[in-house]
Amino acid sequence: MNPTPDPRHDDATGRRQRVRRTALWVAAVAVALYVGFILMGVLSR
Amino acid sequence: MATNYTAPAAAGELADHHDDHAHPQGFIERWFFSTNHKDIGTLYLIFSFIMFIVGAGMSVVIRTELAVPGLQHVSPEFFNQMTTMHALVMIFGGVMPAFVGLANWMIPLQIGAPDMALPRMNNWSFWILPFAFSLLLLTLFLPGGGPAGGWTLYPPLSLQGGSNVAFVIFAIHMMGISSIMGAINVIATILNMRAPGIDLLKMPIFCWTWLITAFLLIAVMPVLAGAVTMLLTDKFFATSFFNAAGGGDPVMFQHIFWFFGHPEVYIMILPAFGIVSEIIPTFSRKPLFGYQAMVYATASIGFLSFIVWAHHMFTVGMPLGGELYFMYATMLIAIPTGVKVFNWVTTMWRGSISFEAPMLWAISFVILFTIGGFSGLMLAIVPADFQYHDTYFVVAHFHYVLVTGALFGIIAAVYFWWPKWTGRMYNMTLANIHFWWTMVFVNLLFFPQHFLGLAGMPRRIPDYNVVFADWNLISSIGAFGMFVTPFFMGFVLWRSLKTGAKAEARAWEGAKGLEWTLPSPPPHHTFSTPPVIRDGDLAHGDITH
Repeated sequence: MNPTPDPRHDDATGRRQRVRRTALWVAAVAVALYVGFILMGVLSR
Repeated sequence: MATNYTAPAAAGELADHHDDHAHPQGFIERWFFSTNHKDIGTLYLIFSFIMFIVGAGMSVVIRTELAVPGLQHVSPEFFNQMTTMHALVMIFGGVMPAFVGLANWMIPLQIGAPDMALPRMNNWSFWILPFAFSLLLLTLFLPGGGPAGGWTLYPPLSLQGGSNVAFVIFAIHMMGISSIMGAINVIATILNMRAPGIDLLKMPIFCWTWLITAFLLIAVMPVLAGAVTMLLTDKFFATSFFNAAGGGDPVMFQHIFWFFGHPEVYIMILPAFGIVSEIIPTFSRKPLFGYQAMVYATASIGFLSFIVWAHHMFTVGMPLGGELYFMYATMLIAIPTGVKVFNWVTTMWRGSISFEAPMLWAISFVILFTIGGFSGLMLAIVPADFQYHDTYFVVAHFHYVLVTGALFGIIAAVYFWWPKWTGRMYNMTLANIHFWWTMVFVNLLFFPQHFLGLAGMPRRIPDYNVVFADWNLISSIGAFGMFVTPFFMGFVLWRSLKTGAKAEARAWEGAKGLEWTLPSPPPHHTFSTPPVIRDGDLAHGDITH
């Protein structure tokens, strides 16, 4: 018989995944802005 | 008590979240390797307090030199280094870390989260800062001294600084990385870690203002980093982004810098709006008037901050249409700001007001920040700005915004939440003396600078015409009086730790919100199990607006 899953553990795992996803998205936006502004300077020459 | 808090013994329930401090720790382990939001918040606040004193020391050098006409104490080169470093230290070392410290302490407590979402990154984002500022401050001891071209780092002037340029730019990159990591943490925490029942429109206003601030940080800190990276390559790798001799455009730097710089002003003031919006209802014993309007006004200010940057540079010579656009767009900001001021005043209207120290600071914030806002409107008027630009009027304006605005907000927050953090009350008479002393000297310091600017005294100049002598002396006396205040505040708080009366969980009679359901001081670990929210726990949850 499978052990009953601990809903609290599932909550924590799901929350960690959501946190990681949010953090990565926001970090990607920051990096894109940094690279974008420098590229804008390069390409506008 | 409606809300559960978890005692340290029960802290292991979500221990996989970050279980590295669920046991007694030594000094090094606790303060250098901490992943606890309260400890990291404390570190940020201590760091910013030190930086405020360093920056204030630099302002005393500036005001000592300016107390009387003529060159007497420091060389013009060193004077320029002091004005530049004073701004960099106060903005990036004082105000911003103080707000991040307050966010670390209060956001998890206000939304019922066990900690910040990314605790290890939280530690990292703090510990970058001491190295960044060591790098920055040590430039003062380099041959040729520190940066002297102003905190705006306009080329070509800023690139004439010799070896300090690389240090300053690297330090700014480090501060930027720290700020971005802090912002990521705030966004991830607020969007993912709220306790069940705390919808976004039930969050305390402080959390809302910080969420919007965090998005501003993510949007503009990379822009600053990009601009200074291009400065670096212009200086050391023979590029010509901003070098007119090589076909570059120095005015483009100003556009990019102020695309960062204007939202930066709001990054330094929005969290203070949130703090004042927590304090005024508490000591008026009334709910905040127009909670949702406050949220939307904050978001509007955040949006408008992106589309007004060129009002800082009207005098570079831009097309009339551009000047008109930036003038009117800037004036638009007065509308959501006016909504906020109206709502704070209306919250107090017919409230049962008491004037404990946090409320005094909050009320003075509303009045004095509004003066800074009005002088900002004057500066937004293009033809008037041609007269005011680069005069002491601008210095007076932004010090009313950043000292009696941002700094007063920070001091108000410390006096408001200190009993919660430490479990100790402070001596209210001493705190009131701190307030009134500051009120007298801050206005002596900055108000005469309006007159000096209107009369035409330029900023960033160590000498001046004798006609400006009287107001400069008064301003310097104000600066000397102000320099005492952080030490006095330190004394008030130290005395509270030593002899203060024990604080209750709800330290202030009118206080509402999850943080006040916790004991004072709160346990090292809180809300390891999500709290059960009941009517009346939240300041806004059971209120129809």
